[in-house]
Amino acid sequence: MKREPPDLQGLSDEMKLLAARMDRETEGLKVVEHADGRRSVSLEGRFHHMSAMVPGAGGKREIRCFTDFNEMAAALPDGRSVSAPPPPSHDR
Amino acid sequence: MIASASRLLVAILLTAAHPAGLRAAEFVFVNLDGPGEGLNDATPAAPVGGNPGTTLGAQRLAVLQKAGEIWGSYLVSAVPIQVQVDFGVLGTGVLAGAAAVSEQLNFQNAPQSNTWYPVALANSLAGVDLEPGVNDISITANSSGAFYYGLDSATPPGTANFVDVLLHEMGHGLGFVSFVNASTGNLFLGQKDVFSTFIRDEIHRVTWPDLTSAQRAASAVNDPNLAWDGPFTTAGLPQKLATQPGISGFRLTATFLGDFTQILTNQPAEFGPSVPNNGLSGELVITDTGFADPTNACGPLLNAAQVAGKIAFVRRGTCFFDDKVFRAQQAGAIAVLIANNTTPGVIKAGGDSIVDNAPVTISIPTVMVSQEEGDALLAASPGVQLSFSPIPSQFAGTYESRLRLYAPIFFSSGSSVSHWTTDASPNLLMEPFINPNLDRKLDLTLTQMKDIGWQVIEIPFPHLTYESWRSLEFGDEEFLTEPGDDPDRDGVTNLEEYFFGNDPNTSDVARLPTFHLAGGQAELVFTRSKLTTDLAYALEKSTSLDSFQPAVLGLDYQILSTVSLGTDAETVTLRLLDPPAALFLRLRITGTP
Repeated sequence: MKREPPDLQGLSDEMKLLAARMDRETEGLKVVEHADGRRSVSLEGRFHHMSAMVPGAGGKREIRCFTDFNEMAAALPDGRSVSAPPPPSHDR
Repeated sequence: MIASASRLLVAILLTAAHPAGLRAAEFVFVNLDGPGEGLNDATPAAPVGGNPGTTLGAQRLAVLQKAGEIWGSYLVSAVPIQVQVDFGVLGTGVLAGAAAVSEQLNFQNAPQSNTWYPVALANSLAGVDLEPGVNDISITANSSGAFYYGLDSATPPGTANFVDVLLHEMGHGLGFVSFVNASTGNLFLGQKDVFSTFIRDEIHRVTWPDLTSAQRAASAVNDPNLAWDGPFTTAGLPQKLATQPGISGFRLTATFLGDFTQILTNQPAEFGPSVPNNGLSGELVITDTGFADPTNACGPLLNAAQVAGKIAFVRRGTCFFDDKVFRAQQAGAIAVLIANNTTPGVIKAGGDSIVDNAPVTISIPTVMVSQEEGDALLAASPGVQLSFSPIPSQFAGTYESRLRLYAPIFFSSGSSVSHWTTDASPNLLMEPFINPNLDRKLDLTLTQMKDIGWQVIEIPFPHLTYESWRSLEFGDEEFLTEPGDDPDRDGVTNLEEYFFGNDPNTSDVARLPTFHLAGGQAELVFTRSKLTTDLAYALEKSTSLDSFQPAVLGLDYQILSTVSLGTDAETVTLRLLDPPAALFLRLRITGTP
């Protein structure tokens, strides 16, 4: 359930660009207050959803829309897993 | 059921089909590519699938324009929607993506205060470009993506239909997206976003703004209990989803002494079986281990004889969940209710079915209730009866009457929450998997857009209830909004205006039904809204006005024609069969269950 920040080391420039596009952190975003009471915030190119053609069940390719870069990278045919899948809950 | 009304037919034929002055949204694509790249790629290409472009760049632009035309044929905005497009080499398999460029809050005409809206929607609502000179949606696409650039749906195997991909991704940029942090459940910059105001957790029976951050984070993995609570989408479900009767969950009811009942949250555990489809009921028995905390069920139960055949109450803490359940199961319990020992709410109890270092089989269902509910049950015991009753769902992918969102139990961070469930059938545009043969009339995505505030025209299926129509026509602050009211004083009640597809705020008696002779034949002509989901009508006749009887189709009248007036209304022409010399007719408008 925990979303891990992407590990950008070893990624190509293209994948780094994708990671930046799909970043969903709000750190560094600036809220602008306008005179009429409106507030706005530029997303700085973040928060993209991104579709990719990935191997599905039985090896059949399917088109899936991702929000998280890590999961997309792990699903891509020549992508690499940049974070481990979350462990199941075993609380007490 | 809403009140019935009838209309004595005296007026004349209606005319207009659509409200005037609505401007379809114009999508303007802003090319950010460098020379020879993306939209500027001059590589020759043969026209394909209705795409007349003869270069890769031209074909890509034609597909973008096609997707813009489709969205623009439904969405209304006086402000052009500026979409920046950037192609690049993004890696094998990557196709395209999109996002809003900015979010806006507390702008003019914002339907909800202190709520973030994507800028394209905010511009449409405000009627002005809130960020002049700044684009509204960003599209990033892979110049080496395996795209099919035809404008049709004849997608060759191994390729992705670029129109379909763009329709989906642009949907995210237009507002099909939650900005809640999925890890923490925190709101976006401390305020709710408009999409999340419609996300409903069926365990807590509230929408996300009413949950704590921890509850929202848990809710995101709460399949099948995460649903869309938008009125237009909910009303449109019967039109767009296959009928698939099933069970979407269970309602847990506690009956206390004196027959006082209370509905409780109940979060099923990850381990063990579900409650049987026909439900389950039994007396609640407080477990007793004899420990300092006697209800933690972390050891053999001293009151096993009392627990046998009953639903065991245990308290969270000290040992693993499956340890507790196994102790109750050994005592003969038929189910276990775990009361949380912290606030707020509940969590999904996990377990590996290993107790005392040995694998065990958990064969009874387990649910968790909140700490407060557990305290109440403890205080009221003995004498509490519990009942799990199945909650029926009528359509594929729904929980009760709401369309579910994608919320797999192990958070699929790539897709969860901001997509419809994959259980929907037929496939929907905004499911996480972009399936072939999607409905390019944008299916329930149109009603979702309407739910979040877009003005949407030409939705080709019924999706209005009187309540949602009233909200649209009057807002929340108006008076005279009941079905029998007539705020424009034109003699036509709100219910009748709703049925005829008229404007309740403008006197428009000219659009009332008409009765006339055509070639010696008596005909009745009226319009009716095609968008209502909760109304029906019946024709009634009278020779004296003293009393009316139903007119019988085929005996008293026939339906001569039904002609569409756009997608919102239709003109119905009825011909009377052998009418007597004097006859009164009326349309009786009735609510349907």
